[in-house]
Amino acid sequence: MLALERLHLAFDGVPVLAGIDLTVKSGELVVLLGPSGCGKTSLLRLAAGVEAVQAGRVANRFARTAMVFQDPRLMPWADASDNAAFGLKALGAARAERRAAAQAILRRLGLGSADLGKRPAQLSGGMQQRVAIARAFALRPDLVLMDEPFSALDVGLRGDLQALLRAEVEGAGAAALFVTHDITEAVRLADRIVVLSPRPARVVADLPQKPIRPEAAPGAVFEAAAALLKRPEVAAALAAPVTAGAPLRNDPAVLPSLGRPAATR
Amino acid sequence: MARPGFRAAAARAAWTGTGLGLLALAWQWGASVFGPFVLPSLRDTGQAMVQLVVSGVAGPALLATLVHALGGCLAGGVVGLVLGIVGGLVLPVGAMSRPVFTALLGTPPIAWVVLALLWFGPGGAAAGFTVAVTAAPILFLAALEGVASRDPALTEMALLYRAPPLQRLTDLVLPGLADFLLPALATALAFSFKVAVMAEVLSGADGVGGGLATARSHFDLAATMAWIVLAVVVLLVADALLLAPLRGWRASREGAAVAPAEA
Repeated sequence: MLALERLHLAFDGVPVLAGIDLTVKSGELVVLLGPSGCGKTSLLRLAAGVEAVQAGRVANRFARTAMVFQDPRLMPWADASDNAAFGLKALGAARAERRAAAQAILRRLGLGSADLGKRPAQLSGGMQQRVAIARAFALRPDLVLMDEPFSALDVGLRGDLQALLRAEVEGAGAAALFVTHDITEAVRLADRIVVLSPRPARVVADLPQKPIRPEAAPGAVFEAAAALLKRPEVAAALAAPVTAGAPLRNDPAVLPSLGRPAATR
Repeated sequence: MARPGFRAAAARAAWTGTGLGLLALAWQWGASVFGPFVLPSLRDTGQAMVQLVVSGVAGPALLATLVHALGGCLAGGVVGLVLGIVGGLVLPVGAMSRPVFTALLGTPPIAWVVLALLWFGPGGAAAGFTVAVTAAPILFLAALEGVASRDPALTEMALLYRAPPLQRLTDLVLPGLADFLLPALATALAFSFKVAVMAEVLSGADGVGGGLATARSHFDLAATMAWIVLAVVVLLVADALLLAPLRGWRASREGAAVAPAEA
């Protein structure tokens, strides 16, 4: 189990997280939903152990944790297979074994044989992100942390990868903590949706739900998303302006055209 | 129909040949204007070079210079590289070493030759030492900058995947250094030959420098130019054998980035 308890975080004195409590159990896909800049990525980095805990506690009882970042973070000098096998190499797997395992996953993710030996610069952005996803899944993790991993992909590919992620979680009994600001993605994937407020982030809703299957009736995703948005605490969190503290309209230095008085336009 | 790569290589070779031809023309024009006591003709220089090679003087001398230059460059380069990498990863080591190597870089090689002559006496050791202290700071500063410039996102990724230190070194740090080290290696190699020849001239050691000193004492300008040409040829051959493969690897690493695949 992953347990985040009373987590507080501040950067340069500016509070980012204000007392987050959250648990993720085996076989559970928890989606963190919140407006842009609310601190979702910081929370994920704390869970991953790459951000120092300032106050509160992070207890990760999972044996093998992998993470997919917003950007692919691939080694530009290594081919797709070696990039996908990076985590297995860290575990001490032999070269042939780890490359074979990585290539099997890359193929499942839709990369062709010719792509396996290509370096990142020779791959499209979508392919690079799939290599990063393969790097995480190659580890057979029991917890995978994902930071908007599908945001750069087209709709069709995103749907395929969402289905693959659900299959991994259900098939292997793995757990996932998935960050997104896309409500439709959240209702497609989540066993639980945790909604965060604008910065400094607090948990405003923790809602169990049934993920909407790809074979569900057309419109089911939007109905579920609408139902979610009808909850006042969710609507307040997701619809609040990100710049509530310093509205752009009142700041001519940021957006002069918006800040100019109507008479001078 | 010729492949584009072949056409580009042929065009490059043609332009290189044109440049060398213009240099030869300028040399010949200078020889005809200033006379053989200032600039010997191409033919006299060629004859002197053949004479040096055929008489068996050139071979051992070039070998001695190669040993001084490459041996010194290797010794100094390894020290600079290792300290640069460690200094990039461990702040106190980097902070303590940087001013030392910056001072070494700013010290004129001629000063090192004088010191080396006093410390080691005349001979090859002085030349090798001078080359080593010239090459070390070049590689040190390049390695230090290279390590400092490594991608923090990749470092964080490696931390998250619990990559052991050796994997982080071989998979992330060393490949990331290539962009910094290759130009530094080319500079260090070129400096090594220049400094080796200079140290040989001043210390009376064997090598191209010793040959130059002898030619100077005989006021033999054709032999002097022949030694210079031979030294440059050896440097170019060493560059082609040692650095060109690395440059090729680096170019292949950048890959066919010109035509990324579609998503």
